[in-house]
Amino acid sequence: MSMDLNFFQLGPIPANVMDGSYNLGLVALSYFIAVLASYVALDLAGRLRAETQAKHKIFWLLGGAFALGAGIWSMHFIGMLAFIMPMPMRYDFFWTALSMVAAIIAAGFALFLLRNEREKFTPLILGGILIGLGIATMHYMGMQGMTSHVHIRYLPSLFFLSILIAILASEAALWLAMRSNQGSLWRQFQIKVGSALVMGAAICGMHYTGMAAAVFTPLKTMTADHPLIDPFNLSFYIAAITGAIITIALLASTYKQLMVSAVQNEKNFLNAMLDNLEDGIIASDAKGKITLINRTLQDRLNSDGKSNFSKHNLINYFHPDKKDANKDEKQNPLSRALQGERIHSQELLMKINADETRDVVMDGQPIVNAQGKKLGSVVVIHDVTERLRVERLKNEFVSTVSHELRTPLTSIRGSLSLIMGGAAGKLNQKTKDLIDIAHNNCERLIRLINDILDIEKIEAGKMDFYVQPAPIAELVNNAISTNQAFGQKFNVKIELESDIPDIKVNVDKDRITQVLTNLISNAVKFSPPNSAVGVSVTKKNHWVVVSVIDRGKGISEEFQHHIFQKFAQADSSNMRKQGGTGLGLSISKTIIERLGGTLEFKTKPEEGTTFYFQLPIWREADMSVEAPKKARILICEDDKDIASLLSIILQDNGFQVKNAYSIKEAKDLLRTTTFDAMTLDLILPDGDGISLVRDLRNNEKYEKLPIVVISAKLGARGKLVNGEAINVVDWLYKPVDAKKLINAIEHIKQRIKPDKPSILHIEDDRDLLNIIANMVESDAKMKGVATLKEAKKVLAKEKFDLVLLDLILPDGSGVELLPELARLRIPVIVFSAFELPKDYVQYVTTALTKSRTTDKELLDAIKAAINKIGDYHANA
Amino acid sequence: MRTLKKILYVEDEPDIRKIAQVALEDIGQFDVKFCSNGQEALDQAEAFAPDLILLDVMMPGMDGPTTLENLREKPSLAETPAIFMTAKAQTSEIEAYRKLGVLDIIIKPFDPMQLANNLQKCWKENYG
Repeated sequence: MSMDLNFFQLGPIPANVMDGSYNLGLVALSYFIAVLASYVALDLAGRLRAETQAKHKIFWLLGGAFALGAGIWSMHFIGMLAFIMPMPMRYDFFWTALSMVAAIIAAGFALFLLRNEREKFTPLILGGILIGLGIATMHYMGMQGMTSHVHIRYLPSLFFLSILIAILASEAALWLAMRSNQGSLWRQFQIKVGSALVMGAAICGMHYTGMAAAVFTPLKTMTADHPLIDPFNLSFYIAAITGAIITIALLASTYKQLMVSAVQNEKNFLNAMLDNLEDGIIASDAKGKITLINRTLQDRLNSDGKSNFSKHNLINYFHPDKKDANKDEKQNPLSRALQGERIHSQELLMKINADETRDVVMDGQPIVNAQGKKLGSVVVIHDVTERLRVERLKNEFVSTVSHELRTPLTSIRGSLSLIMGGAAGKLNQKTKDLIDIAHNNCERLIRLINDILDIEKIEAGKMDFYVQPAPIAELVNNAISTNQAFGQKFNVKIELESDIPDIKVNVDKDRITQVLTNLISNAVKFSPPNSAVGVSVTKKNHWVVVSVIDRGKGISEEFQHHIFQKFAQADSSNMRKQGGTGLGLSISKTIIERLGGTLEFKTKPEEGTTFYFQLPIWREADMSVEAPKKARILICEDDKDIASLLSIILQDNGFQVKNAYSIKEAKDLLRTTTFDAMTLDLILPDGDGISLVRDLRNNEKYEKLPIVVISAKLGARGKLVNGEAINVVDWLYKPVDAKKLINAIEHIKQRIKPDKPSILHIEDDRDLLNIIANMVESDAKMKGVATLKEAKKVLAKEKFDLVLLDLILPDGSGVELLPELARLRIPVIVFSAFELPKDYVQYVTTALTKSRTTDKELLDAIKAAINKIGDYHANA
Repeated sequence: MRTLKKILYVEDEPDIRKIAQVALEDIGQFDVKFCSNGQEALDQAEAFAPDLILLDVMMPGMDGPTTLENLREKPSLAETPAIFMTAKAQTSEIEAYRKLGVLDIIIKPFDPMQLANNLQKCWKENYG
């Protein structure tokens, strides 16, 4: 291949120049092909930019590059076919093919620059230049394909003009194309067509300007290095390539239709789903701006469905209580939920207008994507007005029925019991038997009413417990003695099998008595006559086990499975014979479980049955506060008389004292001994008391030492007023008034009470924060935060002795904090619904999983951690 | 030690009044004034000057708590101890009555054989 180095025609145009003419039909076709290719390329570029998945991007990029590159190539050669020379034309295969490759690569690179959604200036400019240069490169390479039989020189002015046209028009087309992703589909189409027309013009403008720049002179001999292509065959290649471009365009467009309709279907489905929900839904974006209110809620709020609710006026529909105004909009649960806080079953009033108010329950959740990034929040508003109304009606009904049944029963039972008690004179045996029957059945009816009320309460979750520590011995002994009479009727004794350990349990006494009575009376009823029911109380680790043992027939295997079910008795005839209600065991089991225990049984046929429940032992130690050690006070006073007076007053008030008579002595003592407080004279032989205070405040150890200043100098305080925070407890003036001193000491006493350890609880479930704060109230100071961000903020400001950490937080994972907490040497208890990843176990004192941890286990873990802290402080 | 002798008993149900009569007068040996509604109690209470007032809660017209409130407005009865007797036995209801400042609450159906004993026991606990 010989490259002609004289590319430009610099001299005068040679005499043997060949002129050509154009076939206008083919010129028009060339423009059409250029526009078509541009349109397809721009369309694919738009897809490319919208595509989020990297692996799909490559298809759009390749398709676009091929459409544009090959399109330009087709246009060029149609343009060449349109050019009629006074001699037959042949095209060098090598250059023809290479020119297409060059065009595709240039187009591909331009699309690569533009692949991302962000509209940046530089890639846009560069992309335009590249496409322009690509078109030009392709053109002049294609021209090179003709040099086998013509000699081509280019006029520089037109040559550069052609390149400039290519670049400028490409830029314009790209600028337009960047906007083709916006607006309605029709608008997008218009823009794309517009830019394709411009781009087509760029390609053709460049081509025909380039052709005008060419000066053709005939070669004496044909110099063919490569196979040559006949123009007739060339037209087939062009047609094939154009066909390929159109195919790509059709495929892309079909794909798009499918995508659009799939997305649209999904969207329609989601919208329909949201609108058909019975609950109201509000969604917001990450900034808390409301993005969606479903139709249910709009209808509830009597909206026409079109009006937009601003956050402010939406919030004003919801009130935490009956009071009219929201005191603080930011504290409104809806507002908090929209800010990404997790809200659980918050009861609210939804005030639709002056006349209509609905009871609603609100749940709020942050919306988090798979990467843990917060996208916004979703709030569900559940209307419970009807449910509450029914509940109220039911309560009233139960209460009324209970009352109406009890009133006649009061008369019946009263009469019977008076007759039986002999208030109406002596009865003959037959009358007595009949009265007994009436009385027993009356009792049974009363028990049944009581049990039904209990079951109703249990099912409504409304069984109230008045829990307090009580000795188990008292409860068991009382239950045994009150049930002896019942036992006698069956000729069954109730016996305590062993001594009851001196243990207290934290229970509702009445409820435990109810359970014991139920178990004992059951045991009595199923015992053979002349036998005994045994009751035993034993200690097992942290539990006390109470067993009630009968010598009855045992419980049949098939009945064992539903013994705790309601109205379950071994057979229904039994129920009548034994006079039970069939509800007792079900109620007992619930009561014991609510008190933190378990109720179980073991049975052997013909040997008997043991029902036993265990309850946690209540420990006195839980509540006790250690007697404080005597606090030590340093008296810094140079006047010996005053010093001894202060010593006496302070010692009388239960302090240990040490005397220092100068600043130097005071400093020495402070260095060697730990003091809880000090009194300070301002004028000392070796300096000013105030400067000592300043020194102490700069010393970490004494930063917070309570100081009572005792001064003869009335003006001394003035020296400090200018915002100097040396923070003394009190100022006293000489002569010392004992009363004031004692007052000041009382202040000191309060200050030096041993600090409770402080716990930081990081948890986005507000209810759980409250529950745990209540649980550890007596043992520690709790601070609760809901997000990582807040946690970092308070950790930077405050010192904590323990951190209780949830792993799933609205703004990320709790594990992010672990390395920092380890650096701060703060022990950590992880308490989360998720298991702690193994890599992080090293950072954590204890890891508890929410669903598998009882309150008690959590409390124990916290207490154990606190105790360790206590030991640490004590040793320090 | 104050002795419990005179009881003002307010109950709308005649059957229950009858049983209470046996329980309080025959068995308990108390001096009892029976009233069938709140108004009657208000009219007669001052003249009777009871040591203890026994009140049913649910009564037509004026209910037990309202009757007690009105009785308390009479200076001579302002400090007289009172006990409610009620068939409204739900925990929440009982708690609400307890807050009205009564010595005790007796749940119906009560055992008439034990009623007098129970009253004496309660009296002893508070005034013994």
